[in-house]
Amino acid sequence: MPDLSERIRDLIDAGAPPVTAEEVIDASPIAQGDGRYRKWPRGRRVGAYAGVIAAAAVILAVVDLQITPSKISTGVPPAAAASVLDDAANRAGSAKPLVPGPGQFLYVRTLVSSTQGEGRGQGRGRAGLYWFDVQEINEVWSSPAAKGTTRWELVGGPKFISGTDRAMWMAEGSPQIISGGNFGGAATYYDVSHLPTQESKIAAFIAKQPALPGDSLPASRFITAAGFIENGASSQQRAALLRYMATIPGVKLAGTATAVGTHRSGTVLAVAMSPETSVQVILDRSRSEVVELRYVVVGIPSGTGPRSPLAADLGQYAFKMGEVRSYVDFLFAGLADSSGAVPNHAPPVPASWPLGTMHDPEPGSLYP
Amino acid sequence: MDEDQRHQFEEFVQVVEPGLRRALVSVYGFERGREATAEALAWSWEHWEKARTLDHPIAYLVRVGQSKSRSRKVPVTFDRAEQPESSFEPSLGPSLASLTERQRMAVVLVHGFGWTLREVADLMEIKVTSVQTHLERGLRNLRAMMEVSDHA
Repeated sequence: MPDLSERIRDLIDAGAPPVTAEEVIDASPIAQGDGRYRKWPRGRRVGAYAGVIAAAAVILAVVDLQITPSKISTGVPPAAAASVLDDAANRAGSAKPLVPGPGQFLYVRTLVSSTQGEGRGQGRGRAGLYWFDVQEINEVWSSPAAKGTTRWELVGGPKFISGTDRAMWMAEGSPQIISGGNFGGAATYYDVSHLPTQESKIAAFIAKQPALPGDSLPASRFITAAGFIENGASSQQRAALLRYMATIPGVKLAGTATAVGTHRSGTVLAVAMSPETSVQVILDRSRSEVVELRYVVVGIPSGTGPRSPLAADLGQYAFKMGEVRSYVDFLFAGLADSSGAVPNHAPPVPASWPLGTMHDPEPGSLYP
Repeated sequence: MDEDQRHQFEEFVQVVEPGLRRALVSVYGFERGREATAEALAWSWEHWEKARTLDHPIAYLVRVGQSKSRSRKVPVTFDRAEQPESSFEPSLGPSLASLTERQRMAVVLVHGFGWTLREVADLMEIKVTSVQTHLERGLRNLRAMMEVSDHA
C-alpha cells in the first residue's frame, strides 16, 4: 500500500480536478465584452446593482438605527429551552417531507450575510484588503440523484465595515464592488428521506453527519439539526429534531429576537460555538420553523485591536459584544421540476432588501 | 483583454493553480475548495494588472479565496462518490476532515505535497514552530483515526 504522503496527494488531486484558465476566463464578465457585470454561469455573480446603491445608502442610514445587540440570557435553566422546543414540536403541522422525485430538485431559498474582502494585493494578507458586508439571496437546487447548483444574488448593497476600509477602497480608485464568492457554491443535499421521525433515533442520525469545521461538537449538531429543519423535513421530523435539539449539551433559551434580514420574530435558542461566538436559532414556535441562524459575538479575545484591517486573522476583526456577525434567514423551501427552475408557489423575491444590521456603522463607512 | 494578456494569464494559472487549489482544498474540502480556487483565479483575471505583480501570488490568492468563502457553515468533505473504484482506504477522507483546519492544512501541504514549514507558516501567518506543532498533532490524530476506523 502506498505511504500516507502519496495517499494524501492522490486523494486531494483526484478529488478536486484542476481549475483551468479557460474555465475562469469563460466565466468572467470581462469576457462578455460589454463592460457590464452579468450573472456568471452557475450563478457566478450578481449583475449590475449600481442602481440600488443610492437607495440602499438611504435605507442603511435608517436601518442601522434599529440595531439592538442580541440579548444573551445566562440565567435561564436548560429546562426552559426543552420546554420551548417541546412546545414548538407539539405545534408541528402535517407537512410532508420534501423528497425530490425523478428529475426533481429540492429548492431552498435563504438570505445570507457575509463579510468579504477585496484589494489590489500589495502587501501581505489583510493589509491589502478592504472589507465590507454584503447580503445575498441564495437559491439552492439539490438532489440525491444529480449534481445540484446554487445561485447567489446580491441585494441591498454593500457596506464597508469601517471608514478605514472605505479609505483603502478610495485609494484604489473606488472600483465597483461586486459580489464575491459566487462561483456556484456547494449544493449540499439534506436527505430527509432517511431522517427518523422518532426523537430516540435522531441523535444517532445526526451523529453520523459530517462535523462542521471549527465548531464545537454541540454547535455542529445544533446547526446540522437546524439545517434539516430548513431543508425539507416533514412536520414529524421537525418535531423530532426540535426535541433532539433540546438534548444537545449547552443549548439554552435566550429570549426573543427579530431576524436581521426578514424581520420575523421568534424565540432564540443558543449554544456556544467557541468562547467568542454563540450560534443562535430564532424559532417560530407556531410553525416549528427556523427563521434565522445567526452567529453572535459573546466574547472578545484579549489584545484584539480595532476593526479591519488590523485583525488577528483574515476576516476576523474585533466586533462589539452582542453583535450579530453573520446570519442566514430562511425564506422558502419546495420542490422544483428542474435545476434552476423556481417552484410555482414560491413567493416572489422582493426587489430590494435593506442591508442587514450586522455592525454599527462607523463614520464614513457607507458605500459609495 | 488582448491575446497576450490571455496567454500570460494562462501561464500564470499553470504555475499558481496547483498550490492554490491544494491549499484551499485542504481547508474547505473538495467542492468548496475548488470553488474558492476558481474565485481566487477569477479575481486575478479581473485584476490582472495587479495580480501579475504579486510577490507571493499563492499566499495572497489563498486569502482572496478564503475571503470569498461565506460564513455559512457547510461540512468539509473529502468524499469521492463518483469514483467508487477508488483504491484509497475509505477512512482517509473522513479522518482528514475531522482534523482542525490548521492541522489539515499542515498535513496536506507539508506531508502530502512537500511544502516547507516556512512556506506554510507564511501562508497561515503563524510561526514555523506552530506549523510543526499542527503537523505533528495532525499526523498523530490522522493515523490514530485511520487505525481505529480500519479495525472497526
